[in-house]
Amino acid sequence: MKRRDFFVKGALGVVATSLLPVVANATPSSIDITLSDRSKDKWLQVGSGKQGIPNREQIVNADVLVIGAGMAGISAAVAAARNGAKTILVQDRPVLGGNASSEMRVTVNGAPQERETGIIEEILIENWVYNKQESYPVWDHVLYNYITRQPNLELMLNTQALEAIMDGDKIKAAICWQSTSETRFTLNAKQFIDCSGDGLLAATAGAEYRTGREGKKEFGESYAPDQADGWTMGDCIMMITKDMGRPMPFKAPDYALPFDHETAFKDKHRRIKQVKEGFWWIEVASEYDIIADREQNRHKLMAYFYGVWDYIKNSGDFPEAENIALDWVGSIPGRRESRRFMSDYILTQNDILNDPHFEDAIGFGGWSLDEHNPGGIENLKEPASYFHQKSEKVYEVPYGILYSKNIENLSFAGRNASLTHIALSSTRIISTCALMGQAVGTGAAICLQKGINPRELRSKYMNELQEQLLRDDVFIPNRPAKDSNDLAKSAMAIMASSTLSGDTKLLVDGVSRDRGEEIHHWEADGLDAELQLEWKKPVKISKVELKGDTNVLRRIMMHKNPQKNIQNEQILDVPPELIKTASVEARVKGQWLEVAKIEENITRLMKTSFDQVSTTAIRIKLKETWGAKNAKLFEIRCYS
Amino acid sequence: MIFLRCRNIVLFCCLLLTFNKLAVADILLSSSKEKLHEVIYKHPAQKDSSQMHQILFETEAKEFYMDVASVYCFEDVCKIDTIRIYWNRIGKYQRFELQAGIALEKANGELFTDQDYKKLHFILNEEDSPFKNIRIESIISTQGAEHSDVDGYSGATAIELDESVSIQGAVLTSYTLWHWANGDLVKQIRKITGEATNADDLLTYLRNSEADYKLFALEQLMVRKNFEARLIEEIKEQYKGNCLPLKRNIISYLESAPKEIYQNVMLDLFKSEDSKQRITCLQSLLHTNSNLSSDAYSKLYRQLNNMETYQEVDLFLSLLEKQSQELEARIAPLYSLLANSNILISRRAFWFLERKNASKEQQKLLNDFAKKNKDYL
Repeated sequence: MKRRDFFVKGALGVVATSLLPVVANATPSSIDITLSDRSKDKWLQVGSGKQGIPNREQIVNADVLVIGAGMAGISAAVAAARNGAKTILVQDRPVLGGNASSEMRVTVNGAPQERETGIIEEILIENWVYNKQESYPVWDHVLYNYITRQPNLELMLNTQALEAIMDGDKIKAAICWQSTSETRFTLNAKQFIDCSGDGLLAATAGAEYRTGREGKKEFGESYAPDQADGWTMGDCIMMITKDMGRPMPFKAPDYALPFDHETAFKDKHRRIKQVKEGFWWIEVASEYDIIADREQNRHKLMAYFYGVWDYIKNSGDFPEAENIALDWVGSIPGRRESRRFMSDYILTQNDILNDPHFEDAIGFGGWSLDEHNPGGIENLKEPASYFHQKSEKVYEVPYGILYSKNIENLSFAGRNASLTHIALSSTRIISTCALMGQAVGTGAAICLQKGINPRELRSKYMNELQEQLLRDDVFIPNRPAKDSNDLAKSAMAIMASSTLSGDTKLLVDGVSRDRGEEIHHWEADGLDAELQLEWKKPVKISKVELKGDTNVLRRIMMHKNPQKNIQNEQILDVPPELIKTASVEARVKGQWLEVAKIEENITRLMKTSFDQVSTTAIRIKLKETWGAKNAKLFEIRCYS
Repeated sequence: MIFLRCRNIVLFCCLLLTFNKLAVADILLSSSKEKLHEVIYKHPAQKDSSQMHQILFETEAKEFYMDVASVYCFEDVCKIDTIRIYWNRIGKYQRFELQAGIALEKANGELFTDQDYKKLHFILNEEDSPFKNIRIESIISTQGAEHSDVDGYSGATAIELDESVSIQGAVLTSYTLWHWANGDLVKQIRKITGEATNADDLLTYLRNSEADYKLFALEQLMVRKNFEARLIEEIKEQYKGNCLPLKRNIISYLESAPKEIYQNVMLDLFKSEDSKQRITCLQSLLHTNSNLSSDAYSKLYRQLNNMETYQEVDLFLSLLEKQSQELEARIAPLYSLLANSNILISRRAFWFLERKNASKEQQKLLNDFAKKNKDYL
């Protein structure tokens, strides 16, 4: 049933409850109530001495509405806001991060071959500034700080998008329920992005979607089952333990299910290799409708989890667990798979393994086809996961899988994108989802500027989208930047105070990271290094943008078990190679003027903005890094 | 700690038991006189953070060798062999040897082929291998670990490296051995050799045809702060070569010399037809905030007409801008730069001269330039 669009035409603000339609329903088997209908309230506000009815209905207008604030939704919302769209980010939980939040604690993994840059990297680095202790609750608030300081972006926590209000094949508004304020919101927007994973809004809009596993034949996927079936990969809960320094007994809760360790251990992945951080193979899946089964599966997961822990603690086989006690156990399972919405293109296993070039590429993935077994821990006869195969290099992710084929102004990013089940087993990794998010957020902003929808963006303006993503430090394989507005490319000379490796010419070659032996950087011999760009005739410049070094071959994510990162000697700080302090000078009529300062920088992309100057030269002084002895850059851009 | 006495088997076995957990039976014995050096090394593939005491042998021919574990494995699924690695006197990997009957293994128990051994030598010989900057956690599979990385130490290697830099099925072995051959032990060997050399030896090394020896000599000279004239002369000679790391290290060495030696040598090097060399000298003089002597000015100005690139003119003028004394006689020759056909050069000179006191005639030159080039200013 489509809800009437009565409220959509309303202006920003509160609509008097007296105007609300009262949807009385005499049929007890059907639930259709207006959640905000408080006409029966008998409210005496003793302070004022007045009786009244509380306002529990609001209408808010925005340009872009992003549903779901996992790392894909965060990236989408930030990208849309930074590119000029008034954006609302709606999250149904009290914390940000989705699977990566403290509620679920999934590690922010990405392509193992080389790391993602852009918004996801910004966040991961920023976490080392505020949260060196690798605390998940603090991480939630690092994300909160990051989101709430973004101009153009409004965050709504504890808010569930319930239903789409449609105008033909376009979404006009999302009906949302904010549980903490008992308020029903009508969020009007021009572009909608569903990054919620399960995609309730998109589903209620009528966007086509699939669940289950495609059969081999449909897309020629060798790792797909012979016949299509309904299985999805399952959900998990994690744990954190602490060493109490003295023996700690454990009594399993009544609902714990016994662990068949003998069968489970036949698969090497299911063995108990540590007692610190949970077991991803404690997983429960569904064969038909995993969304309908969610509460049942959550209970099962808790029961299986405690069964495994009971075995660890009380079997006598794990003396290393004697002093170990549970400190945290998840209550909301992390989710791998449910709805996959269909777009003009469906990414398949073959796109991942054969790595074709997509003209509409917007980012990359690199995880293996890591398809968890049908059934999870309820199916011990099969391995916990089939690590089928991995693409040798990172593979391209196209924009064509990120918008609805039948709802005009709906995009999506993350695990609910247009993928086969087998392709999802690779693309579901969080940083890959975040790259999709940045692409659709940027795309939505461009759609607004041009008055178009994503399909038209893909057919006519992909170059513009790709250029903006590249400028914003997304790496797109096989797609060098060629922004004609970038004045650095027209400089007659780029000179350096010294060169230890690379070349200053490479700073304008459009590729912002080294590709194996193929170098795309300039590295000075030491600090206090200078770069100078010279133009023959004066140019007008108000923005200078640099891309520094964060070593994209190194892992930078925090871990639920901080000791692991210490053991692995991971750098638990801002990457030492990154420029910390720098300045930008412009030469005006022969005189050098400092026009911008970069201080305490923690982002790979350093954007400076200043009053426009007419200049013949720009000088960048790279004064300090976060520890490396040499200054190193991958790109320099100048704009009017 | 260096053991200078002759080695005997008893001592050798004792040391092995004390310092080396490798199987004694795997060690090849030599009968010649050799020096034994106890070294401490933390191998990056080690799971724990403890440092290992190892015995490094120095042969009479000044070659070094050590018996090491072929692989560090985090589950008991790898076959660990002992392999002997040889370095030359300056710590450059030379070759490896296996005891008769021992063969290295790849994944699934497959033995190394002849081609694999050749490739292993090639890998170990490559000082700038990708292994240099890869951490062990990148080598060990992270697949299947999206939640907890629990498989991180399974020993199933998963990193994707170009075939030319690793052996399929033996990435962890390649990684382990590369870090033996090219890791911190290299520094320790260089230190041992360095401490046993004198200035004559270093002069010989500077004249060696191999750049590695020249670089070693420079490294030692910098440590000792030795700026003897005969060494300086040889170093100036060596700067004529094409080895960029050597040139860079020569400049660093000179920058650490007493001011007079530094400036004289730098200006000698500046007297070159090579624009890049002149730029390097100017960059160094600017970087070290050198206060130029009168003689230095003369030497610099002699090259004024040879300065053909914008960068060297810019550096030259920047150097002049940093000098405390400005003499009219030193400004006048710069007016010739206004006529340079490269607008970047003439414009740079114009802005430099515009801020100086000018004679009537000079002012006219400036005015004419400004008028003619107003679109470029």
